[in-house]
Amino acid sequence: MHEPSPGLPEFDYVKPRSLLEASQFLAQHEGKARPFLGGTDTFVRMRDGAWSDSYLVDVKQFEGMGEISFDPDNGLRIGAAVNMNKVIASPEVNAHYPLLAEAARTVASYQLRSRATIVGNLCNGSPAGDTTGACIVMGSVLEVNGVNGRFHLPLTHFFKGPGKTALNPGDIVTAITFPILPVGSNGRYLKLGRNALGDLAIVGVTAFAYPDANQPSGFTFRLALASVAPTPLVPVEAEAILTNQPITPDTIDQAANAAMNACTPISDTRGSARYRKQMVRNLTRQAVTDVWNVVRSA
Amino acid sequence: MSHHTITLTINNEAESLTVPSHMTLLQMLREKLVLTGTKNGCAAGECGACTVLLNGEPVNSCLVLAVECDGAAIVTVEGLAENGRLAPIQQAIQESGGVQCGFCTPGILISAHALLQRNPNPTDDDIAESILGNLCRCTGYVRIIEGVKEAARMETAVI
Amino acid sequence: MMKDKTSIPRVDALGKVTGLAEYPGDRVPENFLVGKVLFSEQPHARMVSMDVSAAEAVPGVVAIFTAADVPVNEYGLIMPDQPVLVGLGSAKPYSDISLWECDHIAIVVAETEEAAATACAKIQVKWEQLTIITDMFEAMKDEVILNRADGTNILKKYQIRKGDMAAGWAEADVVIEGEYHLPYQEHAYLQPEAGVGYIDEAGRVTVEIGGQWTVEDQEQVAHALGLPLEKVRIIYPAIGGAFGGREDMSLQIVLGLAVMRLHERGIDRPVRIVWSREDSIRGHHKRHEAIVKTKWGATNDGKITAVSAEVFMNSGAYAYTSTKVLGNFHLMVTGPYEIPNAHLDSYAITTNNVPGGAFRGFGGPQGAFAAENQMNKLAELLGIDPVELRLKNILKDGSLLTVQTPMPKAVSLTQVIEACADRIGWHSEQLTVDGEQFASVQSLISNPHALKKGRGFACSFKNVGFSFGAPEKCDAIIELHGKAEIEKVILRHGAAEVGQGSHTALKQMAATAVGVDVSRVEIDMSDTASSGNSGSVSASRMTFMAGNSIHKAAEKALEKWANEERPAIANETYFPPATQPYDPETGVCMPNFSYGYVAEAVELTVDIETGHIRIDRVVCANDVGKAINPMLVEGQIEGAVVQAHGYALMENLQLKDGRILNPYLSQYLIPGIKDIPTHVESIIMEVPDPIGPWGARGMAEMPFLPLAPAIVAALHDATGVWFNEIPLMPYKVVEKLREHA
Repeated sequence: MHEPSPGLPEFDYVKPRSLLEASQFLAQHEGKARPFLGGTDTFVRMRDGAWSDSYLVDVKQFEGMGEISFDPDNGLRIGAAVNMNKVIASPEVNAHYPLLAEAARTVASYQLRSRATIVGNLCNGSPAGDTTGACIVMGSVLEVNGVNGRFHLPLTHFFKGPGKTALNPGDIVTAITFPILPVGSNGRYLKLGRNALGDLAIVGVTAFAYPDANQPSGFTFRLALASVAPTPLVPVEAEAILTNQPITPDTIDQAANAAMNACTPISDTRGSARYRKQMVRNLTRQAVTDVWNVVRSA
Repeated sequence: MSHHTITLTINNEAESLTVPSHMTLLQMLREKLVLTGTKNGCAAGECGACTVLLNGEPVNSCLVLAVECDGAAIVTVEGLAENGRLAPIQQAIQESGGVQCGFCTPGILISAHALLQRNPNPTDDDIAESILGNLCRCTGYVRIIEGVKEAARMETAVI
Repeated sequence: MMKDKTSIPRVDALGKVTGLAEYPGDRVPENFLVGKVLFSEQPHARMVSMDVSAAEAVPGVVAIFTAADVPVNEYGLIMPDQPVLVGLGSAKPYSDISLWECDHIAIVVAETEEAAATACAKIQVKWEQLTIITDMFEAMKDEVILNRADGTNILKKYQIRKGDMAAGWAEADVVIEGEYHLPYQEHAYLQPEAGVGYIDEAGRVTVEIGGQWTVEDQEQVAHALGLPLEKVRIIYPAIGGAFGGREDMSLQIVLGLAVMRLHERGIDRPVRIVWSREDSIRGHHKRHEAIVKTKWGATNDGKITAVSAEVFMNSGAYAYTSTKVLGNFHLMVTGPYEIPNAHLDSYAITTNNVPGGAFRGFGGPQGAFAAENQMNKLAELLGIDPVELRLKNILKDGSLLTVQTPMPKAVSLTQVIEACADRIGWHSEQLTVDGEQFASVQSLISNPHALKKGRGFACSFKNVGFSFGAPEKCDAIIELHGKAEIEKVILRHGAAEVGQGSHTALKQMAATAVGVDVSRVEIDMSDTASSGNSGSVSASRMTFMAGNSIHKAAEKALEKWANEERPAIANETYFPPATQPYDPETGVCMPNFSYGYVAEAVELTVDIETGHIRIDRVVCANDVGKAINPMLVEGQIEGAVVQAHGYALMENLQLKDGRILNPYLSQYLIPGIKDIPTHVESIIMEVPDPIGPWGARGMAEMPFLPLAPAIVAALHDATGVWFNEIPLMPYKVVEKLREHA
């Protein structure tokens, strides 16, 4: 039945004083408590009845969660509570990880990005996240605080299914880190929405590459696809094609086809499965060509 | 359901009030403080009519909890005019014809005001990017863009 | 931008930019109660039982009203076919049957929003499911009857029989057949429905709400509540957009009912109801879904010889204004052309879908889509330039319509077509605007070979005022105050201000009519307690009708002023020339007393790999007769173009088994600031309407009409493929192009 109330359902707002307290509270109230950052997804899902937790645990306030820091040896660290506008405006991000800023700019609207966070987007486990691909291809690692303390979780092992991640009750992501990128790297995010108003991606393609003398093609390519499978998808065969043989327009076509064939999209009102697959091919071809044109002349 | 006492400033006035956990900033403004200039068009972050400044940044007030605003500074459309003088963006948008039904106007004013604060000489693209999250069904946006440009000219002239 | 002295800022702009303007949902009356409307959620079912006892027991619940509480349980603008509340215990036949998922079944009045919501969830209803009919052709079989009182699902049929069809086809050298599918469109005004009801100081049942015609609302409320008209008062505060979507009742009657029944129980507290966005999208009517099957014949030199058409319009569960929309559709389906032989059959069909009703253009956009596509296809087939082909067949002064009566004088179609073609450089091969980056494809532009450009043209006409014999009039009261000179003018008028600028334009016309500066005019508007019957803000009629009524009242008031009356007060009513309904057999009638004329040309770029379309340039030439406030006129043109752009490209309401599936603005997309055409150029032409006030014609609907077919023509120019269906969603564009590859 349609829920006529326009407000949020009742819940308790919890603001723990420490990370430990937060993790313990979440673990003790498994299934009934949920951590939140910007809340841009959380509140909408609560309102629509998709989520019905009794407790929402605010985890924005802990030390280091609101900052971006860059260190030439260790790379970039973005606190979990850093909003996307801050990422887009960050000189360090733009200087060293422009792909991340490029992807973040395609998310929704300015006022939504004042609250939305990269970590929050990842933790929702959505296959449509615009920044997820950039995080995957640049080898980012999550910094997590659990009931038993701190640990690191590479993104490659993070997505388990639609809305499902590797996080356990009590786990709170405190930051996302990016390694120093290889010299000469370049990336591109191409997103196809239905309109220009921050629509969810019908298809999103992230491509990233860098010169790599150990590879037959002389380059390592990484790809990630959004909105074409139950989880963010890495088309490994397409990556291998671009790594294992000399890169030509024909190789790029082969890789684009491989990316297309790796997808298992659904049909919905935003686009048919067949359309999505074709768009993956077109956008992959374009993104890889764009990236290739930069890295080969670097 | 827990209640929380929060202290904050709204349009430069200090307020202290008790709010339930699940009350949004939008509900607090409209229902508790009767600042109804901020509009509820969707309650889901999709239309931008409820946009306010939270610590200087535009946010969808329907997607912020009131309790999260403890210690914060909020500016709504009612706070744009100073000492009875309209802000340039308010003046410019009504003269440009950027107002029709007016329901989207408060949110657009806040988004545009924030843009001009961070970028006094915006391009058309900057303007579009800042207002992307504010839907308008009446004007076709043409005169809204004109109004923001005019406000930028007015502000620059004042300085 | 237009900056002449008549482009004064809106009278309501200051309140709107300071946040002080009060919309219905902003009203916070002292000690108010919250009302909530419970929808049936049943596209077709019979109520077996309803138990409100658990809901009444919810703490904070004050009252629950059901069908048995409604004195006269029916309403409807053109026929009282809809129960105020579907349910048991009402004398209205069939009012136990829900025909629409959003039929209202109960009003809960409570101390808080939460209590009202909790109570709604505890109302127990048992339903007997009935067969749900949503397909028009299925409904037309009349195997399951939804219009139980009439015994048929054909709500209305019109026909036109003009000339000799056999001769018309025989004379034709070429024939074009087309079938066109038009989608629903949601108004998506930014302000969801809301209102406040109370008993005013004079004991009247009073409703403050957004609507389009105060007196119509008053009559509907009075009828359903069994009250004399003077015991009901309607006030319009600021209204957050309408576009036809507030022409029918939303919360007027239920608010009136609640306060009347509470008053009888000794509770005199205001009641406020505010709908959510999803309530609004699900709970009010839409632009009609329609199918047109049509055939046009022409000679090799481009003269149209015959047109036949069948129009099928999905009216949904209740009549709303469907019969009137159909009438207009029926007239517009042959376009603004002289058609010597015509055979037209148009049907409004009842189904269990959301009701169709008024929306900017009122059947005109659907008719124009079929007519203009046919015209553009004929031009291609005949190898005649589309502009030239139009000019060969265009309606002129003295031309007979398909209803066999002449057009009103001062038909300016030729002028608007030529002005539009000139401005876009139609006769030059070169497109005038270079493409920019696709905003919609955020960081992409795919390979340049995938970008194709094209240009398209279409034109239309739109009636001004109520058509086909509907009673049409407009009241105005002008008061002149002062001693030796007129110090103050008061205009009292019913006209609704829904954002279009009516109050500003009316104030300007009052100043001109009296001969004073606009600063001396005060307005008192949109309150049945003080203003008369203005008719609705619809049919592009208010400037025309109100202007004439103001003109007449001002003349009379000035006469009284000259006779030393102080204050000099005149209360006058303007009646336009009479119109006539369609003859049931031949369709012969005098349909309208005035029209506005419009032509549009579009340049676009399509990415044939992604199917995304960017509109590079729209030129829109409008004959408005006289622009009372040019800035407001341009605002209407730009707004209509962008709304039509949404209709053509992205707005896609999804229904399944009578239920709307996407009642959110993230799912039902309307154009955002980056989706709009890169350039919108308005041409305002002023060929005076001989009976318009200062020559003015109505104009706010017509820029909507030709845009979708002009876009389709431009897309054809770019790709060589005709699209007979909108919206042109990217994936559908790609699929269709592949079919033709």
